[in-house]
Amino acid sequence: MPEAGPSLSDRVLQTFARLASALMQWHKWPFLIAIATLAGLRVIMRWSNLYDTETAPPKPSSSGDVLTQRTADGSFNGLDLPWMGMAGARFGRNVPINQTFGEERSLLEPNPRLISRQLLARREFAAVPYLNVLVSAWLQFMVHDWLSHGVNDVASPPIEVPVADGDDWPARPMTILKSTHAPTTPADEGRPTAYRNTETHWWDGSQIYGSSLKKQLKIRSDPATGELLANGKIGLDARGHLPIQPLRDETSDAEDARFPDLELAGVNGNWWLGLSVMHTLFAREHNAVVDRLALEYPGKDGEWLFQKARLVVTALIAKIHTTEWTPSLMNSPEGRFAMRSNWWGLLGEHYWRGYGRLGDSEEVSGIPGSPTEQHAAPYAMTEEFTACYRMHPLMPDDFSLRRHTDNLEVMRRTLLEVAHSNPAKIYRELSFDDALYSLATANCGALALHNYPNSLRMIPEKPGIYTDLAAVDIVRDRERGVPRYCEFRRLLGMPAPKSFEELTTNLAWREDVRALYASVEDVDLLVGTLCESQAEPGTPAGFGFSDTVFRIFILMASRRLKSDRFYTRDFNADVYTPAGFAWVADNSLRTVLQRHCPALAPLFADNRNVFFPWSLGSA
Amino acid sequence: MVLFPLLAGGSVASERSDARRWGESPRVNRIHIPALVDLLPVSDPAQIAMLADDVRLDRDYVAKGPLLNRIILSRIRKDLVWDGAPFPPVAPRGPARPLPAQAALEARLAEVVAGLVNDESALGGLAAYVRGDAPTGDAGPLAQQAVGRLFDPGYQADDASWQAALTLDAAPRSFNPLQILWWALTGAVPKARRLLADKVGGDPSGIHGTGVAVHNIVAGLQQMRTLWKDGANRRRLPPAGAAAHCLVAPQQVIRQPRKAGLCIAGAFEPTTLVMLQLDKAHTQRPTAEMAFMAQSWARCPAHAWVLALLAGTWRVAQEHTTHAL
Repeated sequence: MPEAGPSLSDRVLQTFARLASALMQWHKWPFLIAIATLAGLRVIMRWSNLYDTETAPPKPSSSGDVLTQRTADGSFNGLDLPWMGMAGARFGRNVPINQTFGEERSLLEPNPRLISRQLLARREFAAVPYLNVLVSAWLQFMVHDWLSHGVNDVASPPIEVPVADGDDWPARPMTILKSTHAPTTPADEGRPTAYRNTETHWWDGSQIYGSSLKKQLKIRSDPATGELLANGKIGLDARGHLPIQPLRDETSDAEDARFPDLELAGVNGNWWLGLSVMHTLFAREHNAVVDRLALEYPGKDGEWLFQKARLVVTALIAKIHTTEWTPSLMNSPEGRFAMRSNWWGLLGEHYWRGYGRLGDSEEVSGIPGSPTEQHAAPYAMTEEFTACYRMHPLMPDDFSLRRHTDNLEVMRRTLLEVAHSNPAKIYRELSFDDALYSLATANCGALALHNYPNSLRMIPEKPGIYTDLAAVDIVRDRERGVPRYCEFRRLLGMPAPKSFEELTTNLAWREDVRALYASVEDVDLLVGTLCESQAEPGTPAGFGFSDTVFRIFILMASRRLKSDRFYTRDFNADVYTPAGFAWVADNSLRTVLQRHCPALAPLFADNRNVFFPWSLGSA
Repeated sequence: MVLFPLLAGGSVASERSDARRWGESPRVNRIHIPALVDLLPVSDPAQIAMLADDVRLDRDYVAKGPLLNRIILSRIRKDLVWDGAPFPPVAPRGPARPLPAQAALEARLAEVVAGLVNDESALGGLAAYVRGDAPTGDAGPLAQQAVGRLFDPGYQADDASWQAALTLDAAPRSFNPLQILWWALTGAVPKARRLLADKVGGDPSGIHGTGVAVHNIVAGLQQMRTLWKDGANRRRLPPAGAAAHCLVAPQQVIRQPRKAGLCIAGAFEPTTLVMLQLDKAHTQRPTAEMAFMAQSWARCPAHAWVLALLAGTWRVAQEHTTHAL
């Protein structure tokens, strides 16, 4: 049940943040003021930017031990609201519901295909020199855990996007299927269209374990026999690779049937080499945790071992995301401190490991282990969060796949040539370690205008049918009522640019944007956030993403932990087991890599963060 | 219409409820000064949803308790009545507000919605007002006429009927002694009520709709006119979005406990007035469900019609200015 309002200490933080923000952007303040402002901004957003859309929640059916295990569909995480966060529950919102009606007359204004061609298309690969492609892989690995809108609406007429003369798009008009909306009830009267998350909303590893019991049992099966593994492990082949998913498998995603060699995972849509690497690593990690727990608790059966290992692996992933991945993209003293504080609190990791928590305060000892709270609305992923995670420019168009022993290129592939069923084929010529090494030593793309991967702007779906994902990204935000950039910022309590001059300091970009948009108020969220990389005050120093999306992240990154019983009141050795709890505390992505790819360890030994480019192999 | 504003703005300072979790003692915001006032304001949407269906709380409005409470209750019972019976939106559950009659009204208004979508004559004037083509003062009579035609197809609003609506709306809320004296001397309130009643055939729902609830629609239209001034809104905001944006909830509705008890918002006595502050709750949860208390027994029977009226007004305004968008 959401609470009625912020505590007294939170109100003090709120007031401080409002005052500080009124004078200057948070990242322009000295360290201590910046940190306090961030804490206050999070409080403000917890009470002003969380809205529930649910009118007819899905009905969970309890089975098994819901108190000390995560259910397959995410139900019973919240014991007072068992449907909260389960697969099939609606996306929430970060802006008031009455301001989230999907656009109708203006759905195609300006033309999304023109935006794709003139503002987003990659002209020259703009790389981030201090980040590797594992950043992009990890991001998608996480997004697949948190959300999916499922298959599109094939029953309704598609959205028709006019294609201009001179455009080489193969069809006229371009068609985009509408999103499938949630069934409506009388209680939806006067509300905007809502959409359902087909994955569990929780940070529960559902990209690995699936969001249904059927899927979970499938990934727990022996690839050779199809029988459920009795030891609690995830099925891997003899090389330690993910098995191939049978065609037209009943648990498959909609697109699986199109790709005969697709690897099996809880979520394997939009599959590519980076996802394959992450899924393989963490399937191996799951099995390593099972081995450890089996050693410690020899009397326990495979089901118990599986469920405990799932808890441990999922918490380890959350920890990696919070203390390694996000700080790599928020590479400033404030960014690193804020994220590490989310996990360990102001007292820090050393205190936590030495003495444990000091009271309930999330500020003092971190969110994990603190009381569970939902703040203004029941937990749900949000449409605005989905929109902010449209970070396709992070993806390169081209991949050089090299041996880690001597850095010799074995093959060059385009993005589409490492996608879908191709990873399984690549592993026939390239070892897993080499694939991982190739990604870890290449740079990801910058979140900037004119840097959207062209491979994704013409994805072959069926013979003669293509998708321009850049255009789709624009349409989806408009269709789902995500406010455009200026309004979005205002609704987050941020100042909005009043002119194209304030939108970006890049003169060429400014003219490009002005050529398409009648007013700065019309600029789409995606375009605006990409412009922010060259704006004043713009992106905080060291940040890989804009301040606008960062606001959503400071809210939602905390919320994924704070709302989840298994990261808060039940994040303890009783529920995780002492060995499992210690595993979470003792490990990181660095140790995961060391354990499963020991030959690569020297190449990242000197890295402060494994998401920074690794050393090149030399013969 | 269900609701009417009372004690606008809350002149008495109150501490906000901070019932942080179930099982904890809520920090209550009850305002209790013995012999003077005993109010329990509630503005949390979830709490309001629970209290709206709490059978211990009703709309008997028996004048008892501290002085201010008595004044409030006696005003409601004196002003918002017709033929000796309270208007349905201020009547208690049971015979005074028979649910089948409310359901029948709700169904009838829902049928009107279909026709409203293409009714240029009903929406044209409102759309012109929203576009700024009509004077500011036109919103009241235009809205009153739209509401009135739900009860009499030939309803014609004019200055007198609108003035009557302003009087009837202000009567239970005013604490201005001179105004109250003037009304008493001139019989303005009964006159206003009679004028409004004559125009709707004495239908109590119609009197309330054209005299009290209409003010929420007018406030919504005024918001819509402001919204229209922004070119980005004119271009992008869909009709349903504009309607939701401009939906104005009543400031508060009152419940009178039938016995002492404890609820999620705190303890109450039979003499306490529980003030469900819908406008504040609607700010936190801006949905039609909240504004109309649509999941409650006391829901506004015109919920679908009001949304359709607002959405239709915006649509017609957009259609008449396509070239200017």
